[in-house]
Amino acid sequence: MRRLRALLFRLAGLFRKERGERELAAEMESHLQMHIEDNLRAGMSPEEAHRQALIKLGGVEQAKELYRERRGLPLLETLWQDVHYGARMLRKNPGFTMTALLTLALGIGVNTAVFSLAEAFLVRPLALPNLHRLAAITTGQKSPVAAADYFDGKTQGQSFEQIAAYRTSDMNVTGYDEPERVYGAAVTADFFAVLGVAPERGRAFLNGEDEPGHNEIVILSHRLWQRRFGADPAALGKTVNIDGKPYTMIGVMDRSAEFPVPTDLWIPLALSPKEKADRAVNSLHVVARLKDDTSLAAAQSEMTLLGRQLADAYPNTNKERQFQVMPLVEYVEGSITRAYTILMLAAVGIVLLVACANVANLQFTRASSRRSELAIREALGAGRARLVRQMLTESILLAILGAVAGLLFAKFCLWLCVSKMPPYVVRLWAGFDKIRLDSAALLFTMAVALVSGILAGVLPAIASSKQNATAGLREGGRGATTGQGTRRLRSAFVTAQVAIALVLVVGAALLIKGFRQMTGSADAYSPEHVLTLGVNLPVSNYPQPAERLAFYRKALAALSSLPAAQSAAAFSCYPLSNNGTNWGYFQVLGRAALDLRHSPWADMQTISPEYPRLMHVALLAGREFTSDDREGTQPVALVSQKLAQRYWPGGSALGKQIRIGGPADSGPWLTVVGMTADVLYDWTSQVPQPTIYRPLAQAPPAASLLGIRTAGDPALLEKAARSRIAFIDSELPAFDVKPLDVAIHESTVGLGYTGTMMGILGLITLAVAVVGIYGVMAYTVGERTNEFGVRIAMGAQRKDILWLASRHGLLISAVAFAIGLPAAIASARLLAGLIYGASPGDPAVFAGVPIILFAAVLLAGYIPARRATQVDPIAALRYE
Amino acid sequence: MVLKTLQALGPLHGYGIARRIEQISGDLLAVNYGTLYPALLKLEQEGYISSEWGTSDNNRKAKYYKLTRAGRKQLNKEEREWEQTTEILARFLAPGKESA
Repeated sequence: MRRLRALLFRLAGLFRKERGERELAAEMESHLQMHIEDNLRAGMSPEEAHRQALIKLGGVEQAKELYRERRGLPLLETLWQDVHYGARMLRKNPGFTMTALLTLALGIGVNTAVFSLAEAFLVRPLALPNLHRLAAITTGQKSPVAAADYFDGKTQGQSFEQIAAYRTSDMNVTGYDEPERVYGAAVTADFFAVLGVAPERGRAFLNGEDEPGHNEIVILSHRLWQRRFGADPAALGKTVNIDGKPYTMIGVMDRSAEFPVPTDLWIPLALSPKEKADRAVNSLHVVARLKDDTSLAAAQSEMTLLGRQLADAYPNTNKERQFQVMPLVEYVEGSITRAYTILMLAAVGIVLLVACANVANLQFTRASSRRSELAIREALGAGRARLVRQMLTESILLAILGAVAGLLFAKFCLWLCVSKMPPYVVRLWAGFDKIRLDSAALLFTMAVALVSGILAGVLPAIASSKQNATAGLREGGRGATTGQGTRRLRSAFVTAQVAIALVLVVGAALLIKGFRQMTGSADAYSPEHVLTLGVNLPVSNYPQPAERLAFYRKALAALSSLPAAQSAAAFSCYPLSNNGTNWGYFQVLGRAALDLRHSPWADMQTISPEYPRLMHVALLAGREFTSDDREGTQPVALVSQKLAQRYWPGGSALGKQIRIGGPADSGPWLTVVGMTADVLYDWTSQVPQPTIYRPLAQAPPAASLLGIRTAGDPALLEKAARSRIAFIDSELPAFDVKPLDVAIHESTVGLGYTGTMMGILGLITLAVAVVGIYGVMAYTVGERTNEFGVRIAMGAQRKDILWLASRHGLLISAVAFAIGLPAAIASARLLAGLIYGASPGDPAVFAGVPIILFAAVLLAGYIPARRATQVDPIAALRYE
Repeated sequence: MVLKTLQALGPLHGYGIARRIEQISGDLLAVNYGTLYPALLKLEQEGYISSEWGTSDNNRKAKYYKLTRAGRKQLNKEEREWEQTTEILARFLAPGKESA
């Protein structure tokens, strides 16, 4: 208590120094005078009286100094002095300061930016309360759960407060406005209770409303309510048609409560008793709130046990089924988002290290020019710890200033990220709307600044305080070269920088090259002349295949008769999409049937006969589909080259028979009538997958994409295409109406971002490393000016000097390449799963990047080396 | 000692305190007057004494220190503690007499 009071007084003492100083002087003065008077009274001479008084006091200044130490907090005061002095030193060396600041600002800025991204994507992609207590239950690989299993888990699970299920699907909304396709979710009645959210208007679902017959109610997202109903409160209570059925609007859900992402409306998940008893099909997403005192691991072991019990009880369906409990945050993150985010975190960490190494190098340089200053300070009694502290304070001050500039840079980076991202992608990307610089990011930045200040400062500080004071004074900072140890340290730093830059730039080049190659491969389909649109035929209006087929026939006829249209076709998936293809198992006639897990599988495409020509997919053998391939005629299929080679190697696929489904499924055998070139439909699979095409007329799907090829700009067709579809079915919205090149861009944009970001990071590292090399070389040359002068005077040739001066730089780069190249190869292998469109051992990249880097390093070393050859021997010697 | 001095003599300036300590100790303790002031400051910061400017007997401006209530309490406490300590020490030193 008393201590605290004293501390407060001492803190206050820091700020009232002047007054305190005056009072102290007055007090000392009165003390002296009184003492002198006493001494005089005791019969001393005035001089003697004065002298004795001073002796007794122990010196006025010394007494004052003792007093001062008690008055304030010496530690804080010296810190303040150091900061003050450091700031002055930084101001005095604008060149050094700007270079170091810029390096640190870039290094810290990218860290802050990527930290913010990682936080938004991986830590809080959802704004749900107590997010970390929410878990998803899956059957592995984020797969959904069978309805009967869900109900067993719900009734038996002890680890959870509540468990809810949902299912997502696209839904068509009609009424009040143009028909529209929206993101829908069918949820159990307790779904919102599990999430811990309530509607901002109206009410949530009640128990029992998720039973068939009571379920014609809907909760709108704030977004949809605003967009479609003009945020009209009176809309609640009215009905809206969803997939052809009327639903009463009962609530509006706050924007922050949007889960799953994306959702426009929630309806009750009304399962029939038969559906509830289904244990075969994994069809429900399950979300649960953990009890406060239960850990994820405990919940997992409970669910593992339940899985075993169910496997014993229902071996037919559950034999190989296991339940997995994972944090909901992990469940919602995109499949490659985490990997890429971690890759970026690692990359920016490396950039920061390189930046720190560079600043450390700059400080080494500066420390040697400050040698006499340090020597004087030491001679005046500054302890070594005090000197180190001074230098560290300066380094940290520099880093904190750099961090402030870095925050601005981070803000700019984030702005770039957010503003250039298509809104369509933002909508689908959980967490993308949560990107911002928040307090956590600020704290992180400051921590990074502190660490980098210490990292960049500690070695130079220790190294430069090590020297002997008298030596430093005698030489006056002139003539002497830096100690061997320091120079070796600096060379090691630069070597590490170049090696790291090599690794990073190679990685970035692979990513970028892959991305360009991949998007470049889309040119083969000339997507800039194709308009795509999606349709989703609700079962309520199109229960029979024949009705669906009739719709597609009418739609394709209407679209191909548009004035600008050359042709129109239906298909399941466009090239280079990323929303997953429709893959399934199939059987090959004449091959032993395997169990489901080992059955052959392929991407399944249902196409109209015009598709290969519309999408420029080459037919390599056999024939295309014709209008004669329809219901009632021989079931047929086209296969991709890859599939043909895999299952009929060396022979022809034509005439072979395949059947869609697992070994237990029954279905017609399809005769292969043609073989097409391979197409990379889902770019996340990295290479084209085996593909089976079926004619639309023999298996009309419930949802399909339609494409129109035109000679001109497909965007001009958007409106006409929509109205043609509306003319056929006024309740059916055409969605995602956009040119194919836009669609492809949107599906690959995340990858493009990563590539660009990595490219920028690579360039930063490269620039920093080149500056580092230049710095070291320039410094060494500067130090050896006298030596070169003498050598030239003794008759050394230009090329000898050039060699002497650049030898060091060449050695550094040779070592850096010897370390960096194998590291780059290894890390490319490691990251092979993240590199799309290029092989991780791409020879062009592995040859090109080192050459460019080497040229840059050479240039950075050449400039100072050339300066060495121009040393005027007379001037150099006179300087000595 | 400072506290005791102030208790005995009432408000006093730094020089006076120093002299008093010297006198009482019979010049056995030669106080370096310079170290007195930080000690006074410490006591003031801890709230045991307070200070104000005043005039000395021979009309000189000086800073007068005086005991606060907390200071008196602290003094009592320390006196008690000291008595205890000396008592204990005395007992340790006494046995020689007892056995004699």
